[in-house]
Amino acid sequence: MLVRRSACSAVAALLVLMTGALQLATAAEDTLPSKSDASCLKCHEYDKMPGILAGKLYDVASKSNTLQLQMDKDMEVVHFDASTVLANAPTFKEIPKQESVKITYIKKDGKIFAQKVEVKKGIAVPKEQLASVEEVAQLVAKGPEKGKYVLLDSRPDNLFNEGHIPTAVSMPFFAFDKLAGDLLKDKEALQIYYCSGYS
Amino acid sequence: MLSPLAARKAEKLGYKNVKVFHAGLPEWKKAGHTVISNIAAIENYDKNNISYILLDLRPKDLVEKGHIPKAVTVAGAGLDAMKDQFPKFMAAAIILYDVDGNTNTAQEAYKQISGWGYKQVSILAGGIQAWEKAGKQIASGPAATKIAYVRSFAPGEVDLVVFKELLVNPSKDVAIVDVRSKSEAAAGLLPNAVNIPLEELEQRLSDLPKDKTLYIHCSTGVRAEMAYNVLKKAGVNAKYVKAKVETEKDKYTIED
Repeated sequence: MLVRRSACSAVAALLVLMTGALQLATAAEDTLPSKSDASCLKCHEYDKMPGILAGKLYDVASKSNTLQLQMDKDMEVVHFDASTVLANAPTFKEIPKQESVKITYIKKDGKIFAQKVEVKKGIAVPKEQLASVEEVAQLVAKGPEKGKYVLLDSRPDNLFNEGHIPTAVSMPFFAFDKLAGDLLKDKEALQIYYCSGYS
Repeated sequence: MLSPLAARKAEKLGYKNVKVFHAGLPEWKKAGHTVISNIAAIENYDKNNISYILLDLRPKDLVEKGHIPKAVTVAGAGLDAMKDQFPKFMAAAIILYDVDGNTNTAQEAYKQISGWGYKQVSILAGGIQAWEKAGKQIASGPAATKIAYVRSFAPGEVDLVVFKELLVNPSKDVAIVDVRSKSEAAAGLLPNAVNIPLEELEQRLSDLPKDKTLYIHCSTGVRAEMAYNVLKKAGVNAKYVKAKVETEKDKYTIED
C-alpha cells in the first residue's frame, strides 16, 4: 500500500514536472527556430541559436528582393530590403551561388525577413602553400609514383564520381578523420588538396 | 572551400608537405585538362533517373562485340557529323569511353566536345575494361547511332513544351500564375495568367485559384522556382517553368 502511494506521488510529481516542461515549450515557441544545412552543423551549433538560418545561397531575385537558401534538400525563401545588413559581399546579386551564408531573421507579415545576411569569408591559404594548375598538371603527367604526390579530392564522393582530376583519390572532407589512416600513409609524400574552387 | 580545411587537418596530423590547389576543378577544366568519371556516376544517374549521354569511341567491330547499355557509337558518322544531335543544355553530363580510359581518341574527343562549350564532359576511368571487370551488364550487336537526350527536370519543374501548350489550349485544372512584379506584369500578361508578385505571395495565399494546379512563371525562372518552394511549404499544388518570358500587351515570347 505504502509502495503504491509513493508511486502515485511520484506520478504526481512527474505530472508537475511535465506541466513545467510544457510551459517551457510554449515559451520556446515565441523565439524563432533555427535551421541549417547539415554541413554547417559540422562546425557551428546553429541549432542551439534562435532565429538563424544557415545554408547555401541558391539564388537571388533582386527584382522582388528575395533570395533562396538551400538547406540540405529543403529550400527557404527569404525576403530582404534596404534595411537588411549585408556582410562580406558588395551586393546581394554578387554573392556567388552555393556560397555559405548565415541569416539572422524575424517573421514579418508571415514572411521570413532577413535582418542580417552574412556571407562566409574565404579561408586564406598562405602563398607558399598554394599549388598552381600548371604544377598539378605536371605532377599528374608524371603520375603519383614518379611525381611522389597524393592528390586528394575533398568534395563529396558523388561529385568525385561524376568528374575528377586524373590520379586523384576521393577523400570527402567530412570523412577526413575516417579515411586519413588509409589514404595518408606516406609521411614524406606531397599532399595536394582540391575541391570545387573558391566557393 | 573544403580543400583548405582538409589541408589544415592534415597539418594537425603532422604532415609537413601539404599544399592546396585552391582554384580546384573549375580551373583545371578551364585550362583544358581532361576530367575522369567513375562507373558509380553512371549507376547513380540510372538510379535517380538523371539523363546523361554515354559515347562509345571504339571502332565498330569492338562496339558490336560488346558495349555499355545506353551507349551511342560514334564509329559511323564521327563526332563532327553528330554535333547537331548534342543538346542545347550545356551542363548535360557527357561520358566518353574507350577501351581502357587511356587512349588519345578519348583525349581528343574530350577536347572537341568541351570546345563546343559542354561543361560536364568526362572520360570513364578504365574504359569498358573497368566496366567488364566490375561485372556490369554488356550489350552486344549494334549500338545506338543517334544521341537522344531529354533533359531531366528538377522537382516541380515543368517542361517548357507542356507549359507553352497550356497557353494555347488552356486546361480547367490548371491556373497560370505570374510572379513578376506589378510593373513588369503591367506590360502584358500571358493568356489567362494571374499576377501575384513573389514578394506578396505569402500574404495572398487565399487569392490563389482553388482546386487547380498552379503553373508559375516569371521572367527567367528564378523567382518562379522560389514561388514554387513557398507554395510547396504552404501545401499548395504547384509547378514552375524555367524560361525567359517577355510580354508586351497580348504578345509574348517564351524561350529556354
